[in-house]
Amino acid sequence: MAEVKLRQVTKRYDEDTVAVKPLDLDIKDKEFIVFVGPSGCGKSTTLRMIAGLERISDGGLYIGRDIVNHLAPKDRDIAMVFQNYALYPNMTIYDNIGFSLKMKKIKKSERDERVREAAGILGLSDFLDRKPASLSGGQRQRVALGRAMVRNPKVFLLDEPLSNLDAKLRVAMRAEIVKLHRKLETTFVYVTHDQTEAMTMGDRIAVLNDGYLEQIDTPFNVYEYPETKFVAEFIGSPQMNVFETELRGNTIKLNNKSTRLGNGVTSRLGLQLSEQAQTVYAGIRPEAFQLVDEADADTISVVVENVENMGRDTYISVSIAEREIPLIARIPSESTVMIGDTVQLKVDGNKWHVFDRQTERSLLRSPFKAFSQRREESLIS
Amino acid sequence: MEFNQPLLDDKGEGLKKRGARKKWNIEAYIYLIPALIIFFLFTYWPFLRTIYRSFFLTDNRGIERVFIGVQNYTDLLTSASFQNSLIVTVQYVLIVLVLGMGFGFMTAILCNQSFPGIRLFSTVYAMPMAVASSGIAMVFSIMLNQRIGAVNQILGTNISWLANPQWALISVAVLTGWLNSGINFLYFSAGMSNIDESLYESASVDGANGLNQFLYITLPGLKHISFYIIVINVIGAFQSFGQIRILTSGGPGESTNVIVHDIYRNAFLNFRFGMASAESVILFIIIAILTVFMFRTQRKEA
Repeated sequence: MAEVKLRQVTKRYDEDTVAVKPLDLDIKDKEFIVFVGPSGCGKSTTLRMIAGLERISDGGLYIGRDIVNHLAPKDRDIAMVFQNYALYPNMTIYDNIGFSLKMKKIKKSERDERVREAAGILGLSDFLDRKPASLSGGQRQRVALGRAMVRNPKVFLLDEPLSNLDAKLRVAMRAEIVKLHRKLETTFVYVTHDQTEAMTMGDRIAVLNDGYLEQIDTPFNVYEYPETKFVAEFIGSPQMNVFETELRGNTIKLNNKSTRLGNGVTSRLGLQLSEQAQTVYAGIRPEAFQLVDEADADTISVVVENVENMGRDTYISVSIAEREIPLIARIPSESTVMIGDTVQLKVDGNKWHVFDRQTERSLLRSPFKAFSQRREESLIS
Repeated sequence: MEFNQPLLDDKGEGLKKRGARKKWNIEAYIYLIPALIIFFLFTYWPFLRTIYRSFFLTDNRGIERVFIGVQNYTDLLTSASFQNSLIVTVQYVLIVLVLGMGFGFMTAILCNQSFPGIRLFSTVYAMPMAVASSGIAMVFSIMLNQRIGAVNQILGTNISWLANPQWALISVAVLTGWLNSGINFLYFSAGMSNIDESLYESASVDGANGLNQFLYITLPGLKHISFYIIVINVIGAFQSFGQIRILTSGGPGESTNVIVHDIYRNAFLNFRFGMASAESVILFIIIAILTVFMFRTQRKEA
């Protein structure tokens, strides 16, 4: 049980290739934190630096109170679950789970007890004599979890553990891992490129991009109050519609029409509203649209280019003047909109996101920010 | 099940038809003909002729003259010389196997690390593979020379490596082992690079030190390829000839007269082609039994 602290942790391969730019991160004790980002963003590298499989080029890594930069993986008291499970193919499931205990020279009787206990929790008791090759993907995944579990490590590290499973199993294992976290009460660090996994599993999500930590916050805050354009576009499916447009007064230009920003947005805007047009990135999620019959000041009139019925929801693609690729809007699945129809979409003015055109950072203050800032500070001290 | 029955029947018929067509797929055989012709001419036909000839007394041009049944075989199995050949061959094969695999394995482990100049070492260790056995035998015959040879000079000994019955077999076996080590190095290296890197990472997180990683991951990971290497090495060692012919010609006495060399001697020095053929057949049977036996043990383990 321990917190993990990263202080200016950097990974450089050579002068020009910096995989992880100086990273500060506090992972609390017993927290389930998810690193999410596109491939190559440095999330796996960061995890491997915590594990000790990758040398830390700069900065300090603390597990508990100790700096562990120079400790070998085996001395860091961590357990890791690998993407391909990395089960020892020549050993039985029993030996696989018990391997770390054997390496620690733990007595056979105790080892046996702990292996059987872990196997019981994970539903592997009937497979202990089998070899990994004869197990299904989901079972192998559980063996990998069991192998990490028996050690009672300070920190659990999981590197895309579900990406080799089929979609259905992935959903089931997602729940199992969350359950396991609750049961073990250990710090979990979980890496994934799948934002659904991140949203559903993490206490907090760390969104990484190109070696930078873009934002770390609760799933709700990351979704509702993205701090950067990247986070806004990365989290959410289908993704947020982001485009360059003009902000003038308390209106924003959408399809060459000035639509009003709601109070919820203008009150948080860290930018002096002026009658002069300013170019910004504006973002709006598909669910912020509403299909209406009558055109009014807050509606846009657009032609439907594509209709995707997802069952519960229907998504339509429509062209707008500000964006080359169509804008996606969610409409109720019972609506009978067809390709080629002209429809009126009403925009919820309180759902706009506004990003600076240069820095791509949000111009809106998060209503929770003041609070979360204080919380972070109290954690560090 | 019942519901599925008609479907299965339908498919079954379809399968039968396809199967029937496969049976008479002449096209496939036409493609195989060139390879079959070459195999037949240079492998199967000589092999069949060898078996046939082994039942005859031949003249000195190798033409079968008198059918004598299995007499060649009974003569061979009772002859002290052949029995000696068998013993010498087994000793020779064992030394070659242990040395060739040992050296190949060691060098492969050394080259599995990464350090500057690793490529050079890899090339050096793989080199024996590219050397002609008879060519290197010529080099060794000088190196092993009692008076001027480098080996005695370096070791500070005065041993007649090739003329002393005790040392001659060891000398040729060591040379062959070294020759084989090149390809063994390559096989072992390939085997090691096939072991998933994440297994080592996982083991290091699990607390295994270098020795444990070697014992629990590297060694088991090489099991399959090792078996293959043993088979290849045993067959190769049973068949080695060039270096023995050049270095010792089976001597001194009969101390390095391995089976293949004995076959050569019987056929081309003593002109007993029938006898030599019988010997070839026996060698074939030995290798076949060994190979089958090794595959059996392998399968049992898997």
